[in-house]
Amino acid sequence: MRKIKSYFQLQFRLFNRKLSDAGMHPFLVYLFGILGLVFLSNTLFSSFAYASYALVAFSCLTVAPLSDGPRNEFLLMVYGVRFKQIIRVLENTTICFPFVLVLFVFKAYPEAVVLLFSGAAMAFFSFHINRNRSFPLPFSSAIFECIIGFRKTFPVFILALILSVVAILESNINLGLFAMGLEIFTVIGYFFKPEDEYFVWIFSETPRSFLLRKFQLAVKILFLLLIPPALLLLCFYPSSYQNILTFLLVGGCLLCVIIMIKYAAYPREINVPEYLLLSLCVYFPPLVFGAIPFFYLRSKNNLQSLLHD
Amino acid sequence: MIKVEKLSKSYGSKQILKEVNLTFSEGKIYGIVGENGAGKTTFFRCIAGLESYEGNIHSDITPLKNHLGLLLTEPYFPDKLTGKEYISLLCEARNVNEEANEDNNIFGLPLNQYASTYSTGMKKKLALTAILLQQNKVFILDEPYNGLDIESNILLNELILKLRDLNKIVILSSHIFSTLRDVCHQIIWLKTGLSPEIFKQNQFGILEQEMKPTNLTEKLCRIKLY
Repeated sequence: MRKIKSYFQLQFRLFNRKLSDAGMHPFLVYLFGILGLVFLSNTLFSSFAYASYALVAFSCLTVAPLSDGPRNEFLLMVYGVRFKQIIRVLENTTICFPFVLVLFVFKAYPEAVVLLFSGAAMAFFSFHINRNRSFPLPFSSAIFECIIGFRKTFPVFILALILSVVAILESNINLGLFAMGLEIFTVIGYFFKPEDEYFVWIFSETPRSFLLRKFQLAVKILFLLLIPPALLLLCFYPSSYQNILTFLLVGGCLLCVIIMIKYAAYPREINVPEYLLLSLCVYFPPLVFGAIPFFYLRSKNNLQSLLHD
Repeated sequence: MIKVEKLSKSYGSKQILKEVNLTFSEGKIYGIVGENGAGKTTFFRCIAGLESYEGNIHSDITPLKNHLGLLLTEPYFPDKLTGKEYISLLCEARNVNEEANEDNNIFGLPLNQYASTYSTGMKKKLALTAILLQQNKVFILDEPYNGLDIESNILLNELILKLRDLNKIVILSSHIFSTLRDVCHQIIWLKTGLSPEIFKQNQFGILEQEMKPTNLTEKLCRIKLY
């Protein structure tokens, strides 16, 4: 049992270290994580008839990466068959537990039981992903963040499309807008991590033209990805065109803000106050008109050392 | 031409480069040698503008960084970016309309695979192909032979000579003296915190003698091997 205890202590330390490195206080992350789960599940259950199924699917997707082949082989090598299995079952049930709790609270008992058992059962499977397999993308290499990000998160876009179809079937425009929001935040997430300075240095551009090129390409890709759900919603809810266009506009502006925040902070990672400012812009979008010039000037100055005028 | 004048660089209290004065001309190949930590990579990063420094670096190629192909000792490749996309990224960044294809893939790399999954040697070949396609005027190659197979080593030597014939400036570092001796016009010996020594082709023999390790027997006696 000591082995298992030390394994989980190590995982906890590693996770906390990752949060601290990203400029976030672990306690605050756990606190906001719990609050976020309560808020999001409440919203999901009040606006979507199949919320329990969505939650089961989401938690299974969260657990799935732990079944990664090389990872399981490593655990087997270090801990042996018995301890590896115990560790894997405990890992999966720990991650599924908050979702099981939510399902119990919302009286979705069968789904809660199914999730608990399927989560534990997934611990007995491991799958090998062919890490070399790539698929071509019509994106410019200059915005490699989107290429890398899209390859890592493309299931989100399939999910968003499914949600848009469900929104039409369920006559629930809010769900469709939620799907669009999901896509916007996924693309915004591509710009959270700073790239190696070599990938800024290689550009023979001025900071201004570098930033403008990034905005242009990123917004183009965002709109390209948003076209399918937006068109679907526009066809079935033409009267809600204002809401749909507002989502597109705000999404584009938020993307510009995050790119500028990234390069204003560069080469360090974006920290908590900057994330808070981004959150404020999400809750009160007119703030982007202040944030854009402020961070544009800061990022322009910050990039001077790598890209000369 | 690149002229380095009184270039000094310190990390905290440790001086790495001290008053380095060097001139690099077109159509010439320059080798940089020195023990680990002597400041070879730092020197390259200063020329590229990736490090701040004291002193001056002048060039008639302006801006220098936009015409400089930099091969890092350990090139970094982002996750989920194929070899082909890496090459396009580097070319697009320099506004060069080049694409990797079967003709210019001289090292026979699997360009549709993710570059991060390449072996050390393949990564080096990819980074090298990319900077060659960028159509640079200056090439800084930090330990370009590391990890390369024998055939690629020979190919790289020929490529360097071809760049010289195209009137490019090539500056490279290596720990393998024989490779530098075969291609370089000048070899610069960097020593931590000291001014570098310059050796012309007819002095390479002296450099080789001077670089030979001393006190080997004494050093070997200091460690107990079981």
